[in-house]
This record gives sequence, C-alpha cells and structure tokens, in this order.
Amino acid sequence: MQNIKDIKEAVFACVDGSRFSEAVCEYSLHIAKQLSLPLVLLNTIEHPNASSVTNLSGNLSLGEREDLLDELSQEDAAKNKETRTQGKELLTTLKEKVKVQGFEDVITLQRHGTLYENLKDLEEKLRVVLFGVSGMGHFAEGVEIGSQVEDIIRDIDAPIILINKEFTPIHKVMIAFNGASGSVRALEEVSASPMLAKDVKRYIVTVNKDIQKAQELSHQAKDLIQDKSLNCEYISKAGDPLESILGCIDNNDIDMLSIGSYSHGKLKTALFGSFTTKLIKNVKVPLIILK
Amino acid sequence: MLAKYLRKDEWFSNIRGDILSGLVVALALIPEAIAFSIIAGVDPKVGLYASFSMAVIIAFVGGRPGMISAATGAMALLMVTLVKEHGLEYLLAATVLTGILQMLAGRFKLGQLMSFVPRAVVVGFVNALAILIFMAQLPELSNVTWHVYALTLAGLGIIYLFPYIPKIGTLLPSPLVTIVVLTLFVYFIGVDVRTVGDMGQLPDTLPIFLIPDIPLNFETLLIILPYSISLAMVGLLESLMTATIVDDLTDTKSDKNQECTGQGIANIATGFTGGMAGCAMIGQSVINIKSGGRGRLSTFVAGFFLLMMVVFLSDIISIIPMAALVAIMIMVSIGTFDWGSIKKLKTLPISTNIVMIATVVVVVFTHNLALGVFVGVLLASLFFANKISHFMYNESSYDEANDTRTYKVVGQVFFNSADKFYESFDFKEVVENIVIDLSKAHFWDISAVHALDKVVIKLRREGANVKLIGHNEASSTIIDRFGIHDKPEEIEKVMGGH
Repeated sequence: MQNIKDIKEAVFACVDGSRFSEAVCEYSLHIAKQLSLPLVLLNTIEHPNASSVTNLSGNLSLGEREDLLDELSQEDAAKNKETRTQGKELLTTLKEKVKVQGFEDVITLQRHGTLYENLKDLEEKLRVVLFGVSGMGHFAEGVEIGSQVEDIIRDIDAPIILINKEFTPIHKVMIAFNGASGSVRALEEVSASPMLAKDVKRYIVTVNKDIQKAQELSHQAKDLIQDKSLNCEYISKAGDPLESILGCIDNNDIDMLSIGSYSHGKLKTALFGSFTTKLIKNVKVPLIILK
Repeated sequence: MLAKYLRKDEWFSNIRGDILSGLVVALALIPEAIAFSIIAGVDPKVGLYASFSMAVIIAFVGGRPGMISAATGAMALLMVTLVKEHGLEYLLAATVLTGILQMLAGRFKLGQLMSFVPRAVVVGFVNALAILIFMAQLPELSNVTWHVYALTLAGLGIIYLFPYIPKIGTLLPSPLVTIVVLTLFVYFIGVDVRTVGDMGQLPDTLPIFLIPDIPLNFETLLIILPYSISLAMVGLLESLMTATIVDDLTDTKSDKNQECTGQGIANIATGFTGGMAGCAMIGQSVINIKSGGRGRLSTFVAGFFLLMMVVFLSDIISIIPMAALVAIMIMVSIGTFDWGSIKKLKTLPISTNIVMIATVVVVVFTHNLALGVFVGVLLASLFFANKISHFMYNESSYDEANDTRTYKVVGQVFFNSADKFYESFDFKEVVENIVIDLSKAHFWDISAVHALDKVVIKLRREGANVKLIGHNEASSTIIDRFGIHDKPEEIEKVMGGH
C-alpha cells in the first residue's frame, strides 16, 4: 500500500460519516480519474471542544490537577477510540466502493485534529479538496455551512469543491466570472486543466448592474479560454448577481458551479456578510471554489 | 484582526457547560477577590471590579479559551507597599502601566521567553503561590476568639465533605454551601466575628470609567514603574503557566503571545475602571475545567455574574463572616499546591529539587514571585552549565618518530569548562611538535577561545611548534572572530603583562 509521504499530489476526499460523505467520495473518484491522480480518503478525528461530565462541586483538593488530568484523559481516550473505529470503518467501506469501480490508486488517511488543521499540514499535496458543505455537527439542520468551511476556503491554497448533493454525472458546468483574480483562476481550472472532461458544456456567466459591463467581462473571459474547441456558451446579464446566477443554474440544468472566493477581509465579511457565503448557502449544485 | 477575537467555535461550542461552570467560578471568585483586596490593603470593591473587568475582557481578547483571569494573590502581594505609601490612585495608574508593558511583551512576542523557565521553577512558582495564599490568611486567624477557628474548620469540613452527598453534592458548589451555612449561622446565632462588611467598601454601582487622579509627571512614573515591571512579569508568568495547565487538561492549544497582549488590554481596562491589576488564576481555571467550562463563554459568564451578584447582593455579602472566606482560601491554597511534586522529590535529581525549593524559599521570604523565578532560572542555568561542562575531555597521544604530541579535544568548551580545558594540557612536557585536534570540539564563547589562545601561546613559548587542525565550522567562526593566537601583534599585547 502506498504511503501518504510518498504522494506528491492527490485528490483529497474529506469524509466524516455525515450525509454527504458518500457523494464526496464519488465526486472525488470522478475527479481523480479525470486528473489521473491518486485519491486520498481523509478522515479527521476532531477533539470535541465540550465537556460531558458535570461536576459542579467547585472545590479543590490536594492533587486535584493530577486527578482531573487523569479523569479527562481517560474520558477522551474512550471517546477517541470510538470515533477512530467509526472512521476506520467508514474509510474501509468507501475504499472498497472505489476499488469495485475499478480504481486502484486510492489510499486512506486518518488524522487527529480539525479538518482545517490537517488540510493546512497537507497543503502542498492538495491538488483538489472535496468535502461536504455541512459536517457531523450540522447533521439535522439541513444545508447549513459547516463551522470550518469559511476558514478552509479562505486559507487553504488549493481548489476546493464543496459537495451539497448526491452524485450525478457532470455534463454542464457554469463559471461565474467577475474579472477578479479568483474567478480568473476558476475559469482556467475548468477550461485549461483536465479536471473536467472535454465534452462537458461550459457556461460562462457574467453579471453586472450595467449590461455593457457584463458583456465586456464576457469578452474578457472569452479571451482567457485557450482551448477554442471547447463547447462554451456565454451569458451576460444585468441585475443582482446572486439571483442571476441561481436563475441561470436552474434554467440550464447546471451540474456544477465554479467561482472565485472571498475577496474581502474577515471583519468586513463578519459585519456585512459575503457574496461567497450567500452563494454557498443558496446554491443547489456542487461548487468549485478558487482563491 | 478583530474577527479572531470573535471565533464562534471558541464561544458557543459548549454553551451549557460554559454557563454552569461560569456560575460556579463566579461564586468562588467573590471570596477570592475580597480576600486579595484585603492582602493588597484596598477596599474589597477594588478587587471585585478588577475580577469583573479582567474576566469579561479576557473572555474576548485572551489567548486561552476557558482560562479564568481576575484579581490574584500573586499580584496583590506585589502592590502592598505601593498602596501603603502612595495610595489607591497610584495603584490604578500602575495597573494601566502594567497593561501597557504586557501589551508590549505580546507585541514583541516575549511569550517565547517562557522556554527559559524550567519545569522545576514552574513547580516552585506554583507551590510558592499556594504557600503565600495560605500565609495571607494567617492575619485573619491570629488574635481572634475560638469561634473563628471553629467556623473555619466547619467551613473546610463542608467544602470537602459536602460533595460526597449523593446527587446534590456534585450539583451545588460546596464553597457556596459553606458561605450560606456559615453566614446564616453567624447571623442567627449572633456570634461576634468579623464579617466582609468590616473590611471596607463593597461595590454598590456598576464600575465607571475613570482616569487615575495622579500628577502626570516623571516623578510619578518613577514611583509606579518598578511596581508595574514586577506586576507585568508576574502576571504574564502566572498567566502563561496557567495557560499551559489548561492546555494539558483540555488537550488543546493556546496562543501565548495573544494571551500576553490580552492580559495587557485587560489590565489597562481594569485600571481605568477602578480595579487592581490581575492575571490568570491557577485554582479558578482548574475549577472551571472541572465544572465543565471549555470556551470563552465560561470566562465571560464568570465575570458578568460576579458583578451582578456583587452589585445587587452587596448587603448580603457584607454579612458573610471572614471565617468562611478563610476556609475557601485555604481550599484554593491546597488546590494550587502541586502535590505530585512533593511525592516526586525522592526520585528527582538533587539539582532539580534545589531549584524548586530555592524558588519557593525566595518567594516566601520576599513575597515577590518574579524574584523567585529569577533565582530559580539562574540556579537552573548554572546547574545546566555545570552538567554540560562534564562533557569535555582531552585525549593525547605521542608519536616518537616525529616527536609529536597530539591532543584531541572532545566535547563542549565554554566558560564553565574553559579552565578544565586549559589544565588538560601538559605544559611541562618537552616536545618538538604539538597538534591540537579540535574536530570533535565545540567552542561556544570567548571564554573557550581565550583558553585556547592561552594554551597555544604557552606551548609556543616553551618552544614547540603548535598546529591546530580540524576545527569545524562552528568553532572556526568563533576563533576567527575572537581569536588572537595567529596575529603576532596581538600576542605581544597579551604577553606584555607576563
């Protein structure tokens, strides 16, 4: 079996047993095949930032710190063993599924810590990272953004694919282009790299309040696409970006959307909200996000 | 920048546990804040405002979620003479200055200096702190009637035995039960003992922003600066040590430099709201973790409830007998003490024990934890140097054919082993050629270089040809920079005195 240390570049599928894990695995398999890269199934064991034992006696006895340390580490050990076993089982099942589909270049990886921390550690090996839009903590809440999603998108230097539905074959991909550096890269990723098959239809959408501006952007995008043999359709719209993009997705039966991510600082985003976050919350198809 | 202080997962991932533990901590903070105000010689309200402001602000700007900061004994002990000689206003100014110094420490990432403080000194610091907290209770127990002793013992009995009662034992904080029982007893039986109300003014309003009423001149700065330096150092030391303890207990990481900056911000704010300088507290932080607190919310709740209770229940708080407070402080002292370190005394090397005990002794005699840490670090460094100096020897061999004596120096040559290095050469021997092989030696400082120079000069004076070989990069750079043996005019200078 291959070791993660020997792998230079791979497609990373981050799975935690929540409802999108299987879809993440299937999309990742598809992308790995397209890119002819190894597939890494990554499971992280997160340390819960909460306590389960309640002792409100509020007193301190001799050697309290040592006793408390013992007690807490035993508690954690039990919990971690359980999550570790669950994670292992999940990884084994998914690996089998991948192999059944005739793909052999797959390894499983289990690590302690948050997904964010681990992706940061593995950053140079990441060709593409795929994970579900909501993790375990949000299982019952419908499509809500997982707590680490924004941090990962902001800080991890790799194309990210957010999965928010079951796997369906990819025939039509839309690129939302606004001229910013992230969206230029998003355009390149889905047109110049082999991540998507040649016969996938590309829709390049430009939206601006001023229709002329939108058309200008559209020309700009056209110039950026090197491979003129691709089947591309250019759509320019005047109006609200969010509504226009969502409308285009519905009208054209789009399977995936590619965008450039957060262009504002954290504080501004925290105060005024962000277009990226709004899009992540409302879009019904997987998102390819580039910085 | 601001967003890092508002991380959702650090605030709201453990809401129930944080609120409950925050309440427990708030209840335990009240007696402590009062007790520490008494140590510092100020009204209880100064300590209570400080505990409120420290806890609430650190909740936002601290580097260690779940750690409790408030008015502390370590800091209170450093202020005693300042308050006695110059009064409260100077203490408030010193508190602000302490915060500024701590912010600078955070800015220049001085948190990393903690790596110079060995484990033995940390343990000594903690044990000394425990002893100081205990000693600070002695004035309350001297020249009093037997009632006080009886009440204190009863209080300790409740604190340690109440948790054994099934169900409610682990639901009601036993220090709170102690306070309620002793207060009711004293109030209804009418025992004549000292109460909190006798110790000075309690807060009756929310704290307000005020600028310390001091002359803003150089003289004032000279008065408060020495105190502020001590306060800043001790505050950061205890905070960073506590952060490490909380890190270990919860198996999570903390940002030490952010904690330094955070302590600074909190102290500046505290000074401007009429509170005394504070820092993180070992005992309270352990209680917080034990009660299930993990996030920033627990620290916030502790500070917020402390203020609410104090402001709205000040009439009730003033009739709490001091004996109840003493019992709780004895508990804090016991809980702060590192009991494991006493059990390990037998198995640890004697030098480690000397460092630990020296730290404790210096602190207990000077009441200054910074001095204790200084002595501890100094001793530990000397012991370390001494240990390393043993790792040096000089092997020599003689080649008759060429009349050559070869010295092969192995190990660490520095100030502490330089003399040993010098003495390892045989200067009496009559020999034509001498080779000194330094390929296995490390020269660390100018003491080592100077010793080598002396050796070479002395051997050359006896008429031998001296050759140095194989000094590795590290040694040769130092020799190049400081060495004089191969520059004749420099040799003249050194030999001039002989």
